[in-house]
Amino acid sequence: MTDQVEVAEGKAAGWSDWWRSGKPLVWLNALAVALSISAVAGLLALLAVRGLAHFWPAEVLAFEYLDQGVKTRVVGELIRRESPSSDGLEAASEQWLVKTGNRRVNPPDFRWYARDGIANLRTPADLVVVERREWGRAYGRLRALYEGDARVASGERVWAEIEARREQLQSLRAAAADVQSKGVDAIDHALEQLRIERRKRAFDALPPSLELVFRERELKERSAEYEQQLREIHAALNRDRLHLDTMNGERIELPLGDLIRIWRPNQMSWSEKLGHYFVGVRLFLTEGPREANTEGGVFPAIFGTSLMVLLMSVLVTPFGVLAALYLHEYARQGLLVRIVRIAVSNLAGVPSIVYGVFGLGFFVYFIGGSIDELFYAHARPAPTFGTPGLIWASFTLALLTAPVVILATEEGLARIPRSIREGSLALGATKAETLLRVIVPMASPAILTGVILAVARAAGAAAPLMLVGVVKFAPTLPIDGHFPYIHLERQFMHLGFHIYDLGFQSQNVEAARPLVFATALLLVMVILLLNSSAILLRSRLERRYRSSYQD
Amino acid sequence: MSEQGAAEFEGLPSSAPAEEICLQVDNLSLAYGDVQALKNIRLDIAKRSVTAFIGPSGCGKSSLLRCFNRLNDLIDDAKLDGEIRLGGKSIHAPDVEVSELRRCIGMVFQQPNPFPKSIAENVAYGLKLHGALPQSEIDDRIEEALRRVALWDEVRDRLGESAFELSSGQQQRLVIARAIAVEPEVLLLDEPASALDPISTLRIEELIHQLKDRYTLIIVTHNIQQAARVSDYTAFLYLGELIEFGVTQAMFTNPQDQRTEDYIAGRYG
Amino acid sequence: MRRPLAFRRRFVDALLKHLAGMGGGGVIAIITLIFGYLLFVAAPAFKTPSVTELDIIDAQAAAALPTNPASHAPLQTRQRVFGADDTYALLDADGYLNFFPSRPPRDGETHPPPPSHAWQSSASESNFEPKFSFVPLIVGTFKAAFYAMLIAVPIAVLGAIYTAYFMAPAMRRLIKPGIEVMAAMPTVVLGFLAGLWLAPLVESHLTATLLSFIALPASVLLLSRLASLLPDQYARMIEPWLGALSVPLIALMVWLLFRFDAALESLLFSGDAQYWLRTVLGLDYDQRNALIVGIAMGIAVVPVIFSISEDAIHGVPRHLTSGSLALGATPWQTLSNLVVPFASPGIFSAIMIGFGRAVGETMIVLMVAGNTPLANMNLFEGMRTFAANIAIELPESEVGSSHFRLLFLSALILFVVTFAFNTVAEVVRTRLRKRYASL
Repeated sequence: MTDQVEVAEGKAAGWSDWWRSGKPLVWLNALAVALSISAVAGLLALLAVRGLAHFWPAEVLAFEYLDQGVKTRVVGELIRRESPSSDGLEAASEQWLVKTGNRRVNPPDFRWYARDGIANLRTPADLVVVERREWGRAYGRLRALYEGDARVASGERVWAEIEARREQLQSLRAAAADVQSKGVDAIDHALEQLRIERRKRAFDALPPSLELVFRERELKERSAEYEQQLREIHAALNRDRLHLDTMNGERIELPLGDLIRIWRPNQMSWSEKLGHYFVGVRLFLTEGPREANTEGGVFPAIFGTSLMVLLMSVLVTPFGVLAALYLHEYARQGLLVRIVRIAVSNLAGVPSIVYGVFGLGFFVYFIGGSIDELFYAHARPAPTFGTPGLIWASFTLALLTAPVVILATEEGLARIPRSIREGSLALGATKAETLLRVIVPMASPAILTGVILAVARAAGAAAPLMLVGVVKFAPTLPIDGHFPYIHLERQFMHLGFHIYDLGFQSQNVEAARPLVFATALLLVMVILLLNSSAILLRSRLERRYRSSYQD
Repeated sequence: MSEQGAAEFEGLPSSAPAEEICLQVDNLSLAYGDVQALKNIRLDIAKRSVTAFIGPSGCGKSSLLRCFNRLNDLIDDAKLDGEIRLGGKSIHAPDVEVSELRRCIGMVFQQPNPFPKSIAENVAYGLKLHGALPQSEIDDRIEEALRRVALWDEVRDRLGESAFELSSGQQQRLVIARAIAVEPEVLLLDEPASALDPISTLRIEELIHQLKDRYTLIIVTHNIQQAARVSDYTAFLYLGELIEFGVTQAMFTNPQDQRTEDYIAGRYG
Repeated sequence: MRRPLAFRRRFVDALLKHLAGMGGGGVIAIITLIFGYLLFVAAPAFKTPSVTELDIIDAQAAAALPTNPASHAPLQTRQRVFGADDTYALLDADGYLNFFPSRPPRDGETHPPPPSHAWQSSASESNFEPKFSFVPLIVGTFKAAFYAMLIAVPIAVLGAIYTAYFMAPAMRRLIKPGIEVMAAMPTVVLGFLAGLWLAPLVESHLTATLLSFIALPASVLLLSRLASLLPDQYARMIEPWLGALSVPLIALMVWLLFRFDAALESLLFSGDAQYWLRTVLGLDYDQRNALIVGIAMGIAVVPVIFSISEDAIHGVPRHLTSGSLALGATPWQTLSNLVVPFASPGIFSAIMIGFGRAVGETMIVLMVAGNTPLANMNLFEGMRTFAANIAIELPESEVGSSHFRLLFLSALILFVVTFAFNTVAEVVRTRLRKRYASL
């Protein structure tokens, strides 16, 4: 700033001088930056707080509620309070949203209570929370544990009995899963293969084969055996039943086989709560969803996202690198290159939903449909590849993310001094040798940066994927133990779409809400991690070149 | 060895006279688009000698140097007329392989440009391109090349380290070793010492002296004293034209052309 | 030097060259393929069976064409008709294109429903006639993008000016990547936060939300006035750090406004802002509305515009600005008279790219806009955009039906519009880059 300005500012006591100095406008500009920062920080903080809080074992409240002369007893977790300000006209009291659980005996599982009607608020130490396979959480007091019809324990001793049975339950569950995957599923798969074979024969107008009939009979027998085994294991799992008393005196009967976790939040120590917390996080990351996605974990979504992103990288990296090599190393700078550049910037700017529409029409219906016609004619009219699936999603997203890889690679190539290329050529290397042995290895961190950014973009893209292969719930993972192991035609789950589905398609929004926050936090953390590693990689790269080549 | 190699596929008699011509530039003109960089250059370069190209910036000396190994081919709008002959054969003949030509005519650049590889890999880079050699042979050649540029004793214990660990003087000698490892006949040096400190410059100049009994060297320099110190012949270029060419000592003591005299006297930079 | 090159070396050289050429050509091929395929699917919506283009002036003329699906159209107004096997399109008297599936006239029916500028693809009643007018979708798309830009452009451009020109370099190194990380934020997350958290919050605190748009700038201006009374050296010291110093101010103001929302509401709107809107201004209020879309999509678009404009402003050569400062201009005068005009093509292309994003953004609109195909510009009502409409209806649409083709047509429209915006932006940016390089 110059001296004149100082003089002018020195006199700036009047409003008009103040305005003319331009300072207020600078302050307004600063406000714009501050707003952007606040938005970023606020969003991340909101996600972190809400997403992480979900796993913490909240206190369970018990109170009496008086509503229009009727007194009820309520047990549950306080989800949130809402001040009455929205309806300023009535002098209403604060409203509490309480998760009362016990959806089976006493729906719904979320209720609003006016603070004025709540009396005798306590947190009894003996209240337990049960997470179970069906019907959401149960709240109540332990009453008894039955083994068959025999009562084994009652009252407080039930807790110790459950603890004692934990290992046995776990091994039974493992056995059940084993029989399911190695026995039942394998036979189902074999039967499906048989069915296809029979259809093929029918399609080729061959006579029915006796051998197939025998094989089918044998498989069905074995299947019955496995079913029997499975029934036995389930019977053992369900032999022990837990009885809970709810606050209103109803009884909940719960087979121990359905029990996932049981805890007494009101008497847990800090370290126990912390342990419970981390187990919760682990279950969230490694378990599949239950109860129409409103309970359980997101493992299939993590798995599906990763696999799709991996396939996409395999497709997009060579293409992006080759296109960048063309633009920066081979093409003569002229009209054609300018057209290619405009095409690249347009690829980056075309709305992702358009890629989805194109992917659905071209990849799924046209290419997939043609593949079906040529190779899977016997399976028709049921489509094999002519339906949204993993491979088409990967192709679509490879198109979507190609510009990211192209631009990053080109930037990396541009940073390599020309003398390196000439040095290699002057030694008698061909252009391809120069590129493959020196230039591309030197640009590899830049390429990696581009791929990481592409992966981050694909992990968060939801709009195109909902058209080309993502579903709210996929019963099977795209990789399993049956030939050909990777099932590219299968539909899969995706973290981004999972958020949309949980938040907006769920029947039980309140139950899904904490999970949406947790899933969103997970997705944002993954993406931020990917992006910051890309930024870090890029700045390290810049520094390396700056120190090695001064020109 | 290089002689043999050259003789083998150039078909030259192995008993060449001392003042045998290695490179012939015949009426060479070069234009970048509309800009005429070189005009009707004619000169012969003697085998196993040091020829220096001097002249003010932009006079075309580097452009001329880059004609010898056809690096100008990389520039889209470069247009060349006339001929350059290596051992009597045109380097632009259709049956000439550019990469073979560039192996025969090595080049060292103004900035040291080692590849981001280890010291040994840098020297071996050219060797590995031109045919499969057993590792022991490669190791021997690396050692020989590094010895010839007097770098061996400095780096023998750290051949696996990155070439960027070396000082820029060492890097420049490494780059020369890299160039001579593929046994060229001619070595082009494009202001090889301009980015170096005085001591490193001195070592490069010593090196040039030693290399000339095996290779034909052409050096571009803007340092007149350097040209006087290292070269046998000097060519003075000005605005794309070859003004004067002759034995260095004669030219520096008794320049024939007024412009040469002015330049040597430092009247244009 | 005449020794021929080993076949392997020659082969690899040629191979890589051709592969790279294919990579470069692939980019153009992909763009062409996307455009061509969308057009290929969508085009039959315009195909005419027998009459290429028909101006129907009166009912008699129309009746003479019994096979034409438009023959039972309302004919009081002059219309232009395009037909296809299963669709016909009317360019009605107002100049709007409306699509109808063609079918034989039903018993006792002389006129199908008149073109109503509505998008209604399915309904529960059995003799329902789908209505495919793009009017509500065009209005909705434009409305969403407009309100998003209304919020994003000032924040992004002003923020870019401050960051590039006034901010302390140490802070700039942190802030710029920080805001750019925002660009990586998945829009599905933004959409879900806006739909599930922000929309109810704004609904219950409407007064506070609307007041923040005035109160934040006002409070900053007030503070600036107070700061101008400070001794000069202090004022100059804080200026580069204002970007961070204003954050607590924003937090405080927002907290105050939301804390005293009820009091403000009764003061300004006699107790109920939504009631006031409805009775005094005649505006309906939806929980998921254009205001929320504007905020959420604005946040999504800000990093794009910010990043490109900041580059453009920061790239203005210093010797230009120091020349102006040396002549005695204040930094603000230098900025507004020299720097911003110089960088304006960059800012312009940033806004174009941002607008392209906003037009095609799907997830945020899908989750926040309510998705009712309304054709109005009311800030407090929702809308349905082309992108959201595709996301909702394409999975359910019957392949090859006119509905299906029209959804492809809307994707084509999105493609063409964003293509135009991006191409203009890219050309402008390339020119600007050359201008910077020449200085």
